[in-house]
Amino acid sequence: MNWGMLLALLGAGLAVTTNCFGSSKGVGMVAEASSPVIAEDSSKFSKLLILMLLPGSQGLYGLVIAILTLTQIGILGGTPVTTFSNGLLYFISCLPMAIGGLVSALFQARVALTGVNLISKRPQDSGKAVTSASLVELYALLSLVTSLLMVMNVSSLGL
Amino acid sequence: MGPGVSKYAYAVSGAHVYEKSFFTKSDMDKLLTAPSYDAVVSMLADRGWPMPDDTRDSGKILDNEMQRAWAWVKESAPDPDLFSVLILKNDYHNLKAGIKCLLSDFDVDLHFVTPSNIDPQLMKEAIETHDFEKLPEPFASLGKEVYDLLVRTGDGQLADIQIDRKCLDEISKAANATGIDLLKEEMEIYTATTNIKTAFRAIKTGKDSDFLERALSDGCTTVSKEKLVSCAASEKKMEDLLSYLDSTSYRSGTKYLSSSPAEYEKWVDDKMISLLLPTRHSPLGPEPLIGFYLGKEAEVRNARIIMAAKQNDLPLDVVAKRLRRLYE
Repeated sequence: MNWGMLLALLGAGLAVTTNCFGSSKGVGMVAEASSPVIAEDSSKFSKLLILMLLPGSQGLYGLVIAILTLTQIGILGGTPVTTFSNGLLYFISCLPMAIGGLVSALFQARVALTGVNLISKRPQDSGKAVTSASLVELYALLSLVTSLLMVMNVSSLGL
Repeated sequence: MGPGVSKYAYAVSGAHVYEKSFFTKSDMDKLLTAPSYDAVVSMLADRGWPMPDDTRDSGKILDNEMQRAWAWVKESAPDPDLFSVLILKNDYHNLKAGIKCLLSDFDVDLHFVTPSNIDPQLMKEAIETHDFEKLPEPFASLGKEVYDLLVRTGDGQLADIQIDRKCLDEISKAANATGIDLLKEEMEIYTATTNIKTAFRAIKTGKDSDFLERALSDGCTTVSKEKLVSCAASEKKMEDLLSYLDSTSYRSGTKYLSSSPAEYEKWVDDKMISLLLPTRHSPLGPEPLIGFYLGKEAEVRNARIIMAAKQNDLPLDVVAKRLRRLYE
């Protein structure tokens, strides 16, 4: 059994699944909360759609990290992982995105939910609602960049 | 984000949408200064309040609105049973009213309140046929006990304290079972302030400590039942009671107890509403739904006061002082 390869794949899988979990839960909650507002006034749908989509980006970031990892570990290209330590490094490289993405998706959804309430009461303030929810996106992006740099440079360590 | 709160996303958002039709302070002022009862009814109808055929029946208008709000909570909340404690007092009121009306030949339908957990028709049938087994516990055993007591002794006050105490005990138990802190705190205020009111009235009318022992609920934790009972047994009864209340978190309401029962009721209602406000804008969790229902109750209570004032030509300044704090 190639434990190194197993760990690297586990990292890639984790980056996608945790982020997709966070995003699907976040998008689902915001969409659910938007329903009563849309039922009351369907013209607010477009404003709410942006809020619904915002927690969905983490799922895509997780996918980017997973694909990048696969291109590095010999699945979609790169040098096959043969050692445990090398696999562990790839696993660790995926963690910032796996954890940061999950947490930021859930918190972003929470901010977006308050935005739904704001749009319901004052549709003219939809920009403020979207901006507030977008602030949380920064931390998903930081997780993405960190994981990205780590995955791309593991091979240069020569382990 | 606490576990389980995410399932409230739809209900909480729906509550916030519904709350847009709630009366604000300035709306309430307009209602108060409306030229007539009919103008008040018309303003309520404009807000979407369902109107009965006979709009002179203000009780029916208010009942309809509370039923509509409760139906919405039941339909939207992911676990509606958690909120049944909010209307538990109505079930006990109906049991009491039903038994008393039966024994005094009054029309029970006029005295039932809604919404209630037990269908008023079932309650009426069980009481009229003396078949209390049709009711769920603890209503079945309590109903039978109180009915027998009234038939045997005719002591209406004894029957009242038995039902009222059970009501408070069960509200307290049910609120604790929900595990929702806000609900527990709200019901604690309700139970404690009712105990205080009972103790004050009992001492004022010269009742002894045995009476208080039977009348007070064991459910509340912020006011000691033992202390209240011991005040009734002491020499300086009222002085001791007020002095004890000054050491509790209800000290600010003590002055209203002595001045006017209506002012005390208003103080209690306002205190309960104040507790709801910090969680009013929460995006998730059961708290905004509790706020929604109790907020609607405060609004309906104000509408009741205003409608009664319009029907009886009461002075506006007196009525304005009675209006409750709104959920805003």
